[in-house]
Amino acid sequence: MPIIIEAVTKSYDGRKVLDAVSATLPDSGIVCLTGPSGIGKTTLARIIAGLEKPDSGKVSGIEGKIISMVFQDDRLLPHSTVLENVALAGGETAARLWLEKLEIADAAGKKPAELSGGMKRRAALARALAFGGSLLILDEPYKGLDPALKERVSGYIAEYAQDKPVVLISHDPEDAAAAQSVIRLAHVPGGDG
Amino acid sequence: MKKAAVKLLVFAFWVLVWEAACLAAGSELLLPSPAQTFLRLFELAGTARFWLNALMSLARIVEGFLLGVLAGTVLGAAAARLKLLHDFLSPVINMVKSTPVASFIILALVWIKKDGVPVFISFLMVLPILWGNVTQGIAQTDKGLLEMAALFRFGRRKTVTKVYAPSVMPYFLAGCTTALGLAWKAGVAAEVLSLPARSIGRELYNAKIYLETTDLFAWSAAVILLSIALEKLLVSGLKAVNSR
Repeated sequence: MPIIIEAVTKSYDGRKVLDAVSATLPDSGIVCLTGPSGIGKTTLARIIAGLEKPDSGKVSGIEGKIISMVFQDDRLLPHSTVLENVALAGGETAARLWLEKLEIADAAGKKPAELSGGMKRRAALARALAFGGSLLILDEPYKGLDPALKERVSGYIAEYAQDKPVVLISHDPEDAAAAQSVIRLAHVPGGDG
Repeated sequence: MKKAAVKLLVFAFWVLVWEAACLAAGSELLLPSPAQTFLRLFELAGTARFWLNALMSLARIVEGFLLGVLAGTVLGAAAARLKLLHDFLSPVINMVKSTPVASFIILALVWIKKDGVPVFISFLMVLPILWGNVTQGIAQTDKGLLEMAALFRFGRRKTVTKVYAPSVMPYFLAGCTTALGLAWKAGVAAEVLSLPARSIGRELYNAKIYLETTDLFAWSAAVILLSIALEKLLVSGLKAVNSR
């Protein structure tokens, strides 16, 4: 069942961020959600994930779906190790597998404060991939990754998207070009985002 | 090393001030010297009576403290979840916080057996502090982490142990440390007024009755030393639990 976004509108403190956004997400493949900074990409992704309610409009087709996500910030538990952070979501076997694939297995015993920005991002990505789910939402997952690593990681995401929908938020035109479909958000007239 | 030397110098300075004040007073009855006080403390520490009284006081106060920690934590956690319970209990907690401890001691003397008064008073001193700190710690828990835990279906047990507990622990630890000092002071004050058979409070009361000012100072010093020792024990114990 496809996920259908129908006329979704959202405002914060009187400022309209999303104005009657409509789109249909396919059953599989990568959908790149793109647009300038502050345009409401994260807000729309959070509405799709059910983490926020739109002021009007609706998202249908997410009922019963298990959603996995890389948040805009890493949201790693500061007192737990990288392995614990990933295993809490996806179990230890999947955690070890994804830490290995994302080339961060050496840091499995470290706490998030000991990691670089790119390593934290990979840990957050490993958690989302280890958890699995029937819809994967990735908010700037390549932040802090060097081009070679980004290419390898994007390969895993493409593999994942073969039979499930993946919503990828990115500013990078290359990511939009590589995606199966693109939702391009534009400035809302009257909004300052 | 430098820190310890500074602490020692500060301690030495205040002992000298005490000695000077004692010389100015010119009477052991008004103000005993540091040497007289510590000598008396060593004499007392060599008797079984001292340790029995100290242990009995310790037992009463620790009992009240632990009950207060338990009740404050449970009620604080429940109130953080249920606003109605928070609003319902807040006036009582605020009343306990702002009522003079002497009023409660006198009331407790009417209500309960004298052995139970220090336990009850320690409990009353600890409860509002733990309630406040636990409630605050839960309220300060990172909303983003809670959202993450819900999305990844951590369940209640993992959310409590992995998200809430590490956030609340610093508040809990600070609350326990503050509450312990207060429980000691209020508990001993309760003993002075309720006079349980074996207690530091009774010894302080007797010292006052018989004008044994040196004994009064020595027992007070014992209370301070026991309080410091207990606080250090508590902090290292909680840190060990926290680091697991």
